[in-house]
Amino acid sequence: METATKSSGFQVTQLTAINVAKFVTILCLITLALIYGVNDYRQVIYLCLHVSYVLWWLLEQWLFPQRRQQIFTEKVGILTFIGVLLFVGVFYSLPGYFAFTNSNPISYLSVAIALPLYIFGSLINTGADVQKMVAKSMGSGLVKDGIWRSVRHVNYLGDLMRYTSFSVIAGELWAFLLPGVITLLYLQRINQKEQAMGAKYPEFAAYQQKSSRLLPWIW
Amino acid sequence: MDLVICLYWVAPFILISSGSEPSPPLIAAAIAINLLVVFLHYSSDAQKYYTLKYQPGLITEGFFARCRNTNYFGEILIYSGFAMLASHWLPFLILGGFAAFMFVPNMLKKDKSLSRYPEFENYKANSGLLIPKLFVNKIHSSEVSGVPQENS
Repeated sequence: METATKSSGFQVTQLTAINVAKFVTILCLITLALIYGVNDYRQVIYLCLHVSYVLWWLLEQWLFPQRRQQIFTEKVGILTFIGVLLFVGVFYSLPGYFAFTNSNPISYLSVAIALPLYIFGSLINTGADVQKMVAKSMGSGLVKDGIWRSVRHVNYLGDLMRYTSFSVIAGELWAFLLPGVITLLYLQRINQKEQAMGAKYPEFAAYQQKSSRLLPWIW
Repeated sequence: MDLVICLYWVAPFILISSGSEPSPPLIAAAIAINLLVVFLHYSSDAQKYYTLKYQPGLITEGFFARCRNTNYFGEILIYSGFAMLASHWLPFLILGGFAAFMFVPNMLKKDKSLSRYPEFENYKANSGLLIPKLFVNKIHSSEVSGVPQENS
């Protein structure tokens, strides 16, 4: 990565790459809408959910500029940048492809499952981010109260709920590949964070005892 | 008071009783507005709750940097989404009534209370009472940079 960066002179933060990728996702969804058309509430609701999420992702950084100094700050070269565009930009729109190519009318049950998953997932994810950001800016150490008290990686849980809602709206089994891959990614991060937090905070062991990693009361 | 709150049921009543089906673009707009402002409303409440928990004082950052009443702004837009679906003037009138006779007096009362903080005048000049002031020449002196966001 460093070699690529030096040879090309191209260098951006991971966050910038992800932000550009989010626009790529919107372009992918618009392209799908133009190719396959919007024929059912399945596509209407899918566009609402996914585009709203992308806008929220960008809005959050505008509202909290300090986030730009806190997350995904590592510099990346051109190859990684393209990789991020393909993965976060194109692959993340996979459920959109299945939503637009699914000609069956969406069922009330799918809507009734997907909307609460999306709404509560987003609220959990954003609420957790906001609490931690405020706590850290006030000099707090390990954040283990409020929305973090029962689940140690509750922000990931909210995010997974949101991505699962996209697949439910898509209504195809293959659409669940996206939340599946993101789950694997998060499991790896959870493992790393558990080790890092255990080494950093003496009270982490007690917090571990009375909380779950990702799924409340289960794991 | 309970009877007044029941006025919020007018929009769903009109929508259901009229038997009309809103057009897909209208549904899309109403859902998108609702989703975005639900996060705005509840996340701003979360920011306020946790900030005051850790350090009481005037909040001038994040959701409140450009708008002093983000929660009311969010609430009005949430109910606007419902009124859009009903496609009738009455829910908009009811919402206007709530805004004029309940929200605005509360916002002004809150402004008066917050004026006890020395930094309020500067904050007031750089933020909107209800509608976010998007373009301000403000330097966020209280912004915190380089603070780790993750627990690790």
